[in-house]
Amino acid sequence: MSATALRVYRLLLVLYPAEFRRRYGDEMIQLLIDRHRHEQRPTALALLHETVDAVRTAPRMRWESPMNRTVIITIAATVAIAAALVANVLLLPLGLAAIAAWFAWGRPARPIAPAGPTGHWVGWLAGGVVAIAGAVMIPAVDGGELSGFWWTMAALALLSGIAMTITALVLATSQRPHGLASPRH
Amino acid sequence: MSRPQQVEDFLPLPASVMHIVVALADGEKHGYAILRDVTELSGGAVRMGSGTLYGSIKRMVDQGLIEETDERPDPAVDDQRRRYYRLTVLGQRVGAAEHRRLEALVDAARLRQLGPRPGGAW
Repeated sequence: MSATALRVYRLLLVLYPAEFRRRYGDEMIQLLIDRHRHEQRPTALALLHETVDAVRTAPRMRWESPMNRTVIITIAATVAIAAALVANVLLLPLGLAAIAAWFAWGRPARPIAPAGPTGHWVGWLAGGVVAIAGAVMIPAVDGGELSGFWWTMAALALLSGIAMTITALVLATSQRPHGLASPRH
Repeated sequence: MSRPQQVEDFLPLPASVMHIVVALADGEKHGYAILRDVTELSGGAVRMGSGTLYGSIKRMVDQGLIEETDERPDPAVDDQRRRYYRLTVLGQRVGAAEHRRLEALVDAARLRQLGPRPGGAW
């Protein structure tokens, strides 16, 4: 098994509570190596299987720990507040711009979203990549043992990154060639 | 945390836990040996991931159903990261009780003609 695959798996283990990782992390890595050695499964398939398993089992383990429960509730509240703020700060101007565009050009053939904001998808994508990279870097800087605060920061960065990347994809796919949106004569 | 010591308190066992109990019934094993045994015993139907296995192992250790052993077959040839687990007396009693429970269920299913009929036909 390659060093890169093991590095990816170590990152995946961050999903589990720190205490669990301390106790069973090395064994889980050894198990992955044993499986690879004996079962000859493609590495990507093995990592995919472990990712699905981690996504399924890690939340329960975190929820079972009272300390983690507090952190999860804090994260959920923070994300909800952040989402509300983002919705207000970003979506309101976009909505107003869309309404203004509707009144200015008011043709059904023209897309409702104005051309200006859709041109910014590269910026959203860059922001998303930076946020996700930050989420990945935080555990590395913190030695893989995330305290409650850093776990919150990593989770927020990851969620923001995903949201920004999705926004970039939506904006990019909603862009049309100029000819399609030209006014009819 | 106080552990429930009544065998009935553990029943019915989750499927993953019962698989591990059966895998450890014939002696101590490390994680990969347990996984391999579970896959073989289930005819390949159950393929646990590491999180499922070690999540179950952690709960079983906490509940006193299994314990980590100190001995290693041969430290020279065995990786130090491997740990070996075995059933405790409580784990054996709980496994036997679950066996009886499942056997009674299978008997009931057979009585209601859910099982294979004589001659091997379903």
